[in-house]
Amino acid sequence: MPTTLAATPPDEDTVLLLACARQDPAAFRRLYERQGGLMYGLARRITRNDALAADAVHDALLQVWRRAARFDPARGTAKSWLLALVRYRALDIIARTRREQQDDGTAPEPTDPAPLALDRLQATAEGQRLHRCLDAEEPARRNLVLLAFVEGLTHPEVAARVRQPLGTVKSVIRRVLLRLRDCLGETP
Amino acid sequence: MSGTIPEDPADTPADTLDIEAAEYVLGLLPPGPARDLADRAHTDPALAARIASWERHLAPLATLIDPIDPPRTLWQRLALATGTTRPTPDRTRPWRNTAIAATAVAAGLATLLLARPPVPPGAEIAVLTEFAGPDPVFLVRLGTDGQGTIVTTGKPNIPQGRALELWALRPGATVPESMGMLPSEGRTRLPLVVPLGTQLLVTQEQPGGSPTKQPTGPVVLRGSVIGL
Repeated sequence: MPTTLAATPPDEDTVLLLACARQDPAAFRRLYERQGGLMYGLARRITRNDALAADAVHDALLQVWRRAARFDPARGTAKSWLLALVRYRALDIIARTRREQQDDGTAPEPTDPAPLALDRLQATAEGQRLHRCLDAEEPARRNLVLLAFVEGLTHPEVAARVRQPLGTVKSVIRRVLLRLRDCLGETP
Repeated sequence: MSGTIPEDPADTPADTLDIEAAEYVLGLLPPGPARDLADRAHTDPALAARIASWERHLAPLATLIDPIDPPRTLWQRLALATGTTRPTPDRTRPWRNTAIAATAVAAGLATLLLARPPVPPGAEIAVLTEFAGPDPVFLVRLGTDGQGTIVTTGKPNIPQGRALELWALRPGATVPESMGMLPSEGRTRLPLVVPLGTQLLVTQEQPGGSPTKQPTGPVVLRGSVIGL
């Protein structure tokens, strides 16, 4: 797949992030205004806890302020970097606070969260490609990957949630991931 | 989904690398292996590249989540931690009011705009304390001559090479105004004409004051102007 990043003008988030690297407080504020809600929503979904979600966003944005210079526009959009930072932070936090209870398979209650509206992916070019590739997957298999991303579930947690053997779940996810990779088309 | 799908022995090393990277990005790995993989990525550019690629490809999944207004205290914490207390007006974001409120809180204030009885001139004071402690560090008295008298009553915490700057945030304002530098001891007089309900804030700045005309350091003391 041809990479067109170099030809794409930087989006607003990227401009703001680069300004944060120069310690521009207005840019930091604006970045918070633009992406704080989505970061918090994502962290909230993973941690299921307001205070832990706020901690995740706080820590991620402090990282942004202190280490924005590490952001490399050639490797992805600013938004994807921000969301990755907050997801990892949220995952770290639940690993510390809740993982033990979840790993025994008794929690969390499978409150099948609102069905994810895959159509929303159509809004961006990158999303459209992902939508096409996910759409080609059987819904039950695709759902395993979505559960992991959106709720931050580990292999055993996904297995408990869908009531499938761990080995099966791992295998199915591996196959889905390889097909996704080929479909997304960035194999060297 | 039915039956067990066996591991595929035909997976190439590239496949394995991709699966590991994707599992890490998805958060499927338990904490230990996740940390190990993150460490490996520091020294393995191929792995780091695959991780970055998956992050980019999967990032659109975050749009499946609905944004939620963060708690008001979040920006306050961030502003204090980064010293970025300057608000930026914005007309586009849906949670604007929350953020503006958070800005006000950011400076350590819940601005109370209550009807107040008239206060005789010269009877306005403010007691500046730390967030954590009740002990007054500075007493401020507004004079009738447009000057404020500031008396050091406690032991201000001033790190080496820093100085304390006084700011006023008038009721309803979102941007503080500099009122001048504070002494580390004794008393001083500064031009100070502000209404009741104004929040006075003290930040740590470089000697001579903030170069940006806005606070750049943490808010260490605060108090509001009240009538005696």
